[in-house]
Amino acid sequence: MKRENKISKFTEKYFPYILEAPALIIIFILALFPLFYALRMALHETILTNPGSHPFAGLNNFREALNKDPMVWYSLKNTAIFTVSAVSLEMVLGCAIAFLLNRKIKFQGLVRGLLLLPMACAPIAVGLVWRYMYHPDFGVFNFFCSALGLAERNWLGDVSTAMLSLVVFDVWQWTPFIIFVVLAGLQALPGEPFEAAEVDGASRWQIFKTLTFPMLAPLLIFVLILRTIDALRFYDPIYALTRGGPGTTTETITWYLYKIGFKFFNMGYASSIAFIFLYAVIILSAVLVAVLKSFSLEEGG
Amino acid sequence: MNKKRRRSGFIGMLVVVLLAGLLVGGEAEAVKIRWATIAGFYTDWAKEVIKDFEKQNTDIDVEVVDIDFGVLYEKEGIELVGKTGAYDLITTESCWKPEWAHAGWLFPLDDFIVKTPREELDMKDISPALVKLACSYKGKVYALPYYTYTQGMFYRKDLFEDPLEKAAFFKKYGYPLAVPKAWEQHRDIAEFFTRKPGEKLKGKTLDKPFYGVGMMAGRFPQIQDEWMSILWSWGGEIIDEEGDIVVNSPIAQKALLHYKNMLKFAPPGASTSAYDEVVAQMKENMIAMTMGFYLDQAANIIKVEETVPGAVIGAAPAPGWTAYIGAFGIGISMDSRHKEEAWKFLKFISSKKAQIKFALGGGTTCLMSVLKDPEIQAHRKTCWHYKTLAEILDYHEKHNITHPFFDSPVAGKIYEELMIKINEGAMGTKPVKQALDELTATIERLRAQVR
Repeated sequence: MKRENKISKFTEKYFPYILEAPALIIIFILALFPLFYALRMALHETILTNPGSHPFAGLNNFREALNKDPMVWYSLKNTAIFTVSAVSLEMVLGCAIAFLLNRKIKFQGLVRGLLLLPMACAPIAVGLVWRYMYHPDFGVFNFFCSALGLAERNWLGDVSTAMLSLVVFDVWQWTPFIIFVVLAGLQALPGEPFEAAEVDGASRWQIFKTLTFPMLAPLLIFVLILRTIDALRFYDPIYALTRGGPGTTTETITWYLYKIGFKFFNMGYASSIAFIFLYAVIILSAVLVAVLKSFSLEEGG
Repeated sequence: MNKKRRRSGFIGMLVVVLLAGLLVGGEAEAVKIRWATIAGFYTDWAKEVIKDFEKQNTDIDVEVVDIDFGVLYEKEGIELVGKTGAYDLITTESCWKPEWAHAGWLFPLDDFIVKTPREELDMKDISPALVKLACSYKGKVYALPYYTYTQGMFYRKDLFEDPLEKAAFFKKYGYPLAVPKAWEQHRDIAEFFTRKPGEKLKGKTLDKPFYGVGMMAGRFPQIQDEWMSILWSWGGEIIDEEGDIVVNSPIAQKALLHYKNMLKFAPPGASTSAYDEVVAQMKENMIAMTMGFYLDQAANIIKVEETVPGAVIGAAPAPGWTAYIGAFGIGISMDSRHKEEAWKFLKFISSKKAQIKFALGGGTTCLMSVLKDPEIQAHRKTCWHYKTLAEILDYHEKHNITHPFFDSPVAGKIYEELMIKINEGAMGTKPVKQALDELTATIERLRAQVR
């Protein structure tokens, strides 16, 4: 009896942990272990094409990345430009279109289905199609430009338009994601506060400012962070469209990392850059959350 | 009694099953070998050759893993680094071979070669220039050349031989219009044939722009090949015989400046073009000729004769004769668990019979006897460029043309960085000198990391 009591107390106490264990093991194997291994590589001179062991390098890789490699800062700058431009446009367009769709329209199902298509396509495959659409000699964009009497451009080969072309591609592909998330949020909002506000004679702008936006803020924070993280990791379309060119104009930090790690096989240095980038992303996410949360609390009263 | 019957029945069944297994399951499973190679029409044809091999060697299955050239280096490299043995046969490029041989990832083939009778593999028939450049490292052979992408140039023969064009060219430049022997002539011809809509070409009024030259100036691993063709013809190098890095020498800067200036005679899309776009430009009647260009594209580019009425395509050595020569080789991974079987396939695909089939299907062989065979050269659709190619390879062998760059254990990495820096200089995102100085610094860093 005593033994049975002990066993039952033990299982009661540790049963939740036993249930969580498989998930934790998977997270450890797939996320934490690679993270610690990457840190280990970053602290060593891990050049895979060199046979034998990899000597300890301490913080040399981090120092090299922060102080001696201008390409790290340049690619971070490119990443920031791309992320801010693409995500801002996607948020504004996505919210605007979601508001427009938040009513009964003809062919609603068809419209929503068509909007889903860009997201459903593999970025690399559709990127290759867009590369030919952008092509100055064979592409459809220049065909329409010349038909409309506008100047034809070398979209992907011109320093002034290459980054913009990538932004346009990303906006085309991921605005639907914002649309559907915001639309779902709009449709989940309770009706009573809005009815009360209309009865009180509030204008549309006042309703939006004091009710709609604060109520949607948590969802907007969520979707903004998701898209920002995705945009920071932007890689496949660069491979398909510009390969980081012309020159290094569209070379983002992930592209540069890939080159260091998988072309130069300098995994130690690549890992150190990746960690610096990870810290930057964590800080950025925290700042974003803090700013938007404070905004939503103020407006929500 | 029932128990005894059941036991006997069970034992009887067991005996029958075992006997059946012995009788039926006597065949051994075929050994599977995996060959990582470039995706493309040439590899598609090699799959046909593989069928013949498997018919003759029923105990070996060859699985071809098609990989886009843009990521082939790192995909193969990662498996070699990890010693996974995922690929038994590795496709090597001229620049990758010294790196992988130095790292001990490729299995030296000399012992296999020595034991193989000449009827099965004639090493003397393989272009010696290509064996030296693409397959050997420090005196040992690490790969057999699979097919060659040696550069010459393509040009519109009908334009070059048109009497009106010839007269106009002579009037403007003071010397006859002919296949260029020097890059300065090449430039004049490119300028001459660059025309606006409304101007005439071969006596006919153009309704769209026409350009003198097609260029692979995009950020793809072809821009550096175009530039190196100019560099080498002027006596420049990336690494000289003493091992010094000379990629930012005055000759190299002059070559990059020349390359940059040629862009004004190329279609606007040149800055984002790879080799397939240049072939498309030729087929669309947009360009008169190429820079140093891969002769293995002959089977593709000849289609201009179908798409453009009156067009005749010609092939010639690139100006200076020293355009990029090289080959993709097939080597055996040091971690392969089936080296003998891999060698069997390797010598089969390198045999004359297989290479002839490969050639007639559109592949560009490295066997000199096949390249020089008049009957094979007569196959207009697939082998029309062989005569020119054979001349180029003979020229390199006769003059013992080598480039120390291809023996560097960081050649593969230099090749990747070359692409970026040459593109920066050509596009004007950095001054030519700065781009080449930065390239020099990168090469120094890469070499310092080698143990």
